[in-house]
Formats: sequence, C-alpha cells, structure tokens
Amino acid sequence: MAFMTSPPPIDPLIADRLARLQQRNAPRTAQNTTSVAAAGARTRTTPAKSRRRHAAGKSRVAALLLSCTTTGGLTALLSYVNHADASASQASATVNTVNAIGSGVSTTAATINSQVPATAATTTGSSAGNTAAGVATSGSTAAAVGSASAGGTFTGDVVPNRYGNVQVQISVVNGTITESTAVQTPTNDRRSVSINNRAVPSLNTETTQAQSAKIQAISGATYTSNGYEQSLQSAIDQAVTAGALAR
Amino acid sequence: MSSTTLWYLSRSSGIVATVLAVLALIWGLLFSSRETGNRLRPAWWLDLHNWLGGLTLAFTIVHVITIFADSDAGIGIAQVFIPGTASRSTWAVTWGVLAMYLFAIVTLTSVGRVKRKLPRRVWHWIHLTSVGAVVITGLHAYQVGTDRDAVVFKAGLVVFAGAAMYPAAIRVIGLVTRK
Repeated sequence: MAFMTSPPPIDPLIADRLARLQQRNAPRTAQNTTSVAAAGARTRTTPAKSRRRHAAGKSRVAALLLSCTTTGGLTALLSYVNHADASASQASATVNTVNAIGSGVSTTAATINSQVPATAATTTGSSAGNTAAGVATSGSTAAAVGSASAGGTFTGDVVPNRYGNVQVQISVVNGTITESTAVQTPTNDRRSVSINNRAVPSLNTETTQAQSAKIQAISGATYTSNGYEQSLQSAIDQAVTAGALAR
Repeated sequence: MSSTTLWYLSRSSGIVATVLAVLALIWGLLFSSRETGNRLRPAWWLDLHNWLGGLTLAFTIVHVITIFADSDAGIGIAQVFIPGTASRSTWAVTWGVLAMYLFAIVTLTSVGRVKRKLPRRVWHWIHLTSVGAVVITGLHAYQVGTDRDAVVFKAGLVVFAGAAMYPAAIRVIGLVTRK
C-alpha cells in the first residue's frame, strides 16, 4: 500500500521550526560536551580547591588584619597604661614627700618663732641684724634637730599587679617604725581577699620587727608580698628623706 | 616571653575574641533573617559570617594558650579542659571553658564535609547554641576580666549587647510573623 511505504509530507513551517531548533541546540550541546571534557581535564590536572573563590575574599583578609592589629595594639596599650599608672603613683609619692618635708620645716619654724624672745624685735639695726642672723642660724639648726626627732605617717607608692593595688603606710615615732598597715590590697575576687587576710597581718608584724623593707614573702601570697615590699620601701625612703628615720 | 606580656596578650586576645563572636552572631542573624539589604550579595554575608566564626575560635585558642603559658595565672591543663576545677574565680573560668567548647563544636560542625553529613535539623540546633556561647562569653569577661572595672570595657559590653539585640529581635519577629 502507498501510505505504508513513504512517510507523510512535513509541513514546511514545522520543518523550518525544527531546523531552527536543531541549530539552537547544536552549539549548546557542543559547548556542554567541550566544557565537561575541559572540567574533567581540569580536575585531573588542577585541584578544584585552589580555584575556589570566596564571596568575601577581600573582607576576610581585612577582618584578619584588623583582628591581629587590634590584638597587638591592645597589648601595647595595656602595657603603656600599666607603666603610666606606676609612674603616676611614683610622682604622687614624690609630691607627698616634698609636702611632708615642707610641713615639717614650717612646723619647726613656727616653733622657733614662738621661742624667740620679744626683746629681739626692739634692738637697734646692726645688733638686730646680727641677732636676726643668729636666730636664723640657730633656727636652721633647730629645724634639723626638730625634724630628726619628729615622727609622722608616711604612705608608700601604689604598686599595681594583676590582682589589684598594694599600698603600705607606716607610722614613725622617735626614729622607729611603730606601725605598718596596708591601706590598699587586691580585692578583685574572694580568693585574693582570703589570701590577703592571711598574709597582710604577718607582713605588718614583720615590718615592725625588721624595721626595714627586708621582710620575708608569705608563701601563697607572692604578688601581695612583692607589692607590699615595694610600697614599704618607698614609704621608708620618704621617712628617711623627711629625717624621721635614720639611714 | 615574660609573664606580664603574656598577661597583656591574654587580655587583648580575649577582648578581640569576644568582639569577633558578637560580630559573627550579628552577621549570622542578619543573614538568616534576610535583612542583608541590596548592596551586598547574600553569599558575601554568609562567607564573612563563616570567616568571623573561624576567627573567633582562633583567637579563643590564642587566649587560652597565653593564659596556660602564663605560670602566674594559675591555670593548668585541668582548668583549661575541665569546667569547675579552677581554684580562683571558679564560675567565671567555667563559663569560659564552656564557651570555648561551644565555639569549637559550632565551628567544626559548620565545616562543609561535617555539615553535609549531619541532618539539617540537628545542625541547626547545634548552631543555635552559638547564641548561648556568646552570652556566657560576656559573663566570663564581666566576672573575671582584669579590665572589667574600666569604663570603656563596660561601655563596650553595653554597645555590643545592644548591637546584637537588634538583629536578634528582627529574627525572632520574623519567625513569629511567619508562623
């Protein structure tokens, strides 16, 4: 039969569309084949990991650099602040020493003025000058003697450590340390408080016994002992400078 | 390296690790709530969130190592790995140890291969523990940090807590409105 032997004729429009479809698919199919082959080749020759690009590549680097820089900067800042605090406490201790000396001299001068006889003020010019000079000389001598015999309270430097500050105050009477107290001790946590409650009384007692800063550190209270010794030494230095303690 | 330098380094690395943890949390919350805006691609947000999380873990490790190396800090192997064994500031150190473990678990379960092996739901619940990790990091810093009395430190804690609250609120509101 005729219809069994030959295929039916295709509509030209449909044929045209089929042709255009084939043309459109053909390059893509060829491309896919090529890219798959290329990817395969790439996989064989180059690890995929090294070609991975991160969406935030530059931001990653920036975050890393910023973190490292901040860490280093903070470390330097903390070190500077710690040293600045130590210097400031040293400076304030020096000012306290000068003030102590000044008050000691003015106290002695007031004592001398009260002791000067009223008749010295009524003498004539030259004799008054000589008398005044004599009084001035004896005044300065009396000032030295007065200061040596005067006592006082002297507060040492604030010594910072990682657990808190340590500061010591001593009382001097007649050239002898009669009392030593810690006016500041670390109180950052309960364990520090507990350690200092045990250590500080021992350090106070040792100071009055040793009459110097050469005291034994308390076991288990190393930071407190070291800070106590440093602050005590500065208090003793102030007392020596003021003449309350002999060297 | 002297004990004092190690002490400074542990403080600074701890502060940086805390800041990185908060930033990673903020990034993740903004990304998950689709509040990333139009200027930058979501892929950028996700990539940076992953990187910040990794940096957090890295600086946490630096913080722990410097504290361990500092012989005056009184933190040994047991105190680093076992919570509740520190003789000084026990609870504060415990918070730090727990935060370290949580950061490690969250970060390592988010690595590609491990993440693909975990069920999505399980991975999500593990990842949510990062919020708790950031909170207890703040507790640790507040209780044991040497700088906790500094005004700048307190102000910084307040600022970062507020900055984290905003995306957290957006995320929660988004979840509620979706349901």
